[in-house]
Amino acid sequence: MTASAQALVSAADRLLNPSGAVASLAPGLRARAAAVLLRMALDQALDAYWARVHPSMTRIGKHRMLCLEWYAGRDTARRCRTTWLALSAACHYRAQELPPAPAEIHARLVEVTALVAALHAGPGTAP
Amino acid sequence: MAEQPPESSHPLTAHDPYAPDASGSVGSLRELLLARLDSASGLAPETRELLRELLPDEQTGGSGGSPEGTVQLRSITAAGWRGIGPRTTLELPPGPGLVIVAGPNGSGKSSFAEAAETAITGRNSRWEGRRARDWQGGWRNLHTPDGVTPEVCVELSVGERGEPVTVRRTWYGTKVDETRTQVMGPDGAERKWEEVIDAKALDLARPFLPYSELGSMINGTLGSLHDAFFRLLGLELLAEFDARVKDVDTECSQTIKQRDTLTAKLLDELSGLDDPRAREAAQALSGTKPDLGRIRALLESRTPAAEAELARLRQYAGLTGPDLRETAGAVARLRDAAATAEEARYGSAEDARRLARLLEAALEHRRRSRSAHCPVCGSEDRLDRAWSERARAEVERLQAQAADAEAARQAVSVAVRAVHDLVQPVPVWLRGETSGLAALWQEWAWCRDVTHPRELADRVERAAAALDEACRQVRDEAAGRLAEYDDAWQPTAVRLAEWLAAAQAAEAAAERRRHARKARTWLRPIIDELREERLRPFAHQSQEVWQRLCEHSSVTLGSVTLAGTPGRGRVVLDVSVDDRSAPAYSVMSQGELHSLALSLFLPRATHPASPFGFLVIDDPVQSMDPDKVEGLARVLDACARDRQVIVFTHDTRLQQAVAHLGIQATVLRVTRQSNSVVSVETLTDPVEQALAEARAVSLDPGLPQDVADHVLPAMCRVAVEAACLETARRRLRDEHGFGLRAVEERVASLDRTKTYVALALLGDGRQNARDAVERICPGGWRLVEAFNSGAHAPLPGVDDRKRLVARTAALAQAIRRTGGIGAADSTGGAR
Repeated sequence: MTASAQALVSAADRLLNPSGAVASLAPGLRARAAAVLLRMALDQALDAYWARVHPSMTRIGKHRMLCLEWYAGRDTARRCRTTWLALSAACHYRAQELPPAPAEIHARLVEVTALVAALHAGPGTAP
Repeated sequence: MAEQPPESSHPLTAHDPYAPDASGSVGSLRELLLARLDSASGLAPETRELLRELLPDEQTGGSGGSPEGTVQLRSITAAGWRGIGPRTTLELPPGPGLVIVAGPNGSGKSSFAEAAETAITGRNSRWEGRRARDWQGGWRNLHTPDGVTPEVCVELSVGERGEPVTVRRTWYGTKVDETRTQVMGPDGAERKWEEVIDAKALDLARPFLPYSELGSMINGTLGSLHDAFFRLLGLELLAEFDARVKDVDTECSQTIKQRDTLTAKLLDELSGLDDPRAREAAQALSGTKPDLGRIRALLESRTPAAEAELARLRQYAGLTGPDLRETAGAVARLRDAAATAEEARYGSAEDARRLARLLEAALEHRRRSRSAHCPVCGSEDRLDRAWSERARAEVERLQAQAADAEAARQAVSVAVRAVHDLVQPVPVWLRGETSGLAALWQEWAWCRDVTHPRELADRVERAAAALDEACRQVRDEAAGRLAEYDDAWQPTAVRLAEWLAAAQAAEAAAERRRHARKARTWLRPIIDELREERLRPFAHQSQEVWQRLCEHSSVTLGSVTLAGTPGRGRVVLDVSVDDRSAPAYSVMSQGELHSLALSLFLPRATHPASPFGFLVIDDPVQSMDPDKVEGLARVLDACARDRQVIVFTHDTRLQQAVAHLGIQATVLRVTRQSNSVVSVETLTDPVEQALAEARAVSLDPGLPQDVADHVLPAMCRVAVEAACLETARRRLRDEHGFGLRAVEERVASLDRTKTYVALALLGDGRQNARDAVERICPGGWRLVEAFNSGAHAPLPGVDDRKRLVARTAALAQAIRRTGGIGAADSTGGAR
């Protein structure tokens, strides 16, 4: 699972730093696609984390992240929640809104990479 | 397991606000400079002496108040002011923490921000802006009935004892500056403004960041920011030192300039004067370097060139020719004597004497020979008695005649000598001259050589008359010219004396200036060095704030340095875009400019020496990207660790970011109804935040029991402890009279929930609060103990969990109510 989280992150990375055919897509579009991939990666990492804590953890994302504070530490939990919400906002397509800036998504990518690693380190590990 | 949320390290709070003033080494600044001065090589002794002389004394008092003088805000009130009609108060939670005042545009939140700034600083940044005039006309609320006096008022918490002090500014007139300020202590007694607020510190640390300054800081106030930093860093001494040296330079330059102007004026004046002294002075003045010695000599009448002519004139003026009366007398006497002598010629006197001797001899012969015959002619009887008698008479007559002639001759020679004596030789200074006067005088002198009485008399008479006339003419002319000179000269001489003094001063000044300039050159790198050294922490802080705000910006903020000289310096920002340096103002977006303004504002306003325990920031969120808002929330959170941070915003994004990041904050909402009726309500606060999260989790049936057992009590505990903190801060301040520092010391020592509760209810964390808890919330103590030990009853189902949250909410509510709050927060508190 975590391997796939990392794969998703690298896919997002390729979208943000394109070469070849991908590069023909508009940057905003690519950024949004990368945001989708990153959110999936974060979800995967969280799933993997909770699977280790408790097999039948609630599926409500907000509660998972609120609870995470007491397992993975405040900092990781709050960063997860903020990043997840930001990515969530970025990957929703709204006609009236501007697509996310590639620079912003790139920063989120760095953050997601760190969070995936932190979550992979396992429950009970202080951040 | 990390039960307690671990403190994430916040570099922003790395400085301890109560640590000894970072600029506390001001005292040693003077010594440091003296030491540098002593070891400075290449400085002339005079320069060193000058520096020593100018080095200011230590300033006492430093740059701000002591931390004991900490000022925090209790509330902000406005009436008839800007967007606020009827009197409205914005209550602020005690102690450090983040307060977000939210409200839509035009709801009056900025009016509160401005009210606070105006009440405390007595001015408002908008008054000084470009559109100040419009603004000054529109400060008064339109919906205020005439009878209501517009006022702004802040209630402060001041000093070691956290005394409530009310600062009220009321308007008696229609102009914005027609205000009256009233400062009232807790007992209602009038207090002195200066005792409460250190105006200098207010200027330095400036805890207000109004919206108008957010965007204009880069292009507008970098200069004043520089000076503020300079003083903030305790470098005032340096600034003053530099200013003094500079003043010496300026002063000296002025003295020199004054001399130069005087010189020019004098030269102009001198050129219009026909006076040898003027020429001389002009010559002395017009060289590349004015000849002071010559001027001095000139003023003391010692100059050879100018004096020669004047001396000549003076001689002419003092010229005395022959005494005509005496000459006339002498000449008359000479003439008489000559006439007398002519009558009795010397020759006839000799003849008479000879004849007399012959007759005497004949008489003797007759007497001896007793004969009457003439032995000479031989005639007989001629020498008779009658002849004898006749001859005797003749002898007597002849003798008398000879004596007379002799006397006349004597008289003539006496008279000639007398006349000769009257004739003066040509005066030495006149010799060699070829003027008419000299010729006449020569003529006159030559009279001495004339011995013939009549000729002498005639020539003397003529020469004397001519000479006298010439002398009179020359004398009059010389005297006239002298007088003329002196009339024109006198004022010039005074000027010249004046100039001399100025020139002497200028000469000294030039020397002093040289040293002053050397001193400044010497001082400059030292100022730069000290400034940089002391600024470094600020610069770091600025960079940190910037990084947090603009993590993803292509613009990076490098060093922040102070450049220029005090008074004319500026803050230099090393800004680069994609590793290329660029001027900040041109490459930054509005949001980035705001971020930069914040980056510069925060380190200054949160300086440890600042007596202000609060920051008021008006709408920093505008034009910031979502990730900047997150950064902002983090930055504000870091500041709020030891300060009241009051942020006004019309944007919900800051609230959202705060909620997502789990930053403890009190959110107040300002709403404005028609007719400027403004109300303030508490949307959420740290207790509510924690309870809301706990509540949300408690309601999730999908939550496994062991997760719930682990998570929910911890969440509830956070809520109770937050309630305790707020109550403790209020109680300690209001009931125990503790200042911010004392309060925060006690708060920092809390570790277990029991101690939190004890501090909140009893004002002492070491006491047992069991009874107190049971009194206000029966069964509450069991909850507290469970939080403490972690031994909770298991929470298998949603109902158990809801019950725990409800009990927690009740306990938190009860605790807060003892502190006089909570009633207003009943919206979601009790369940």
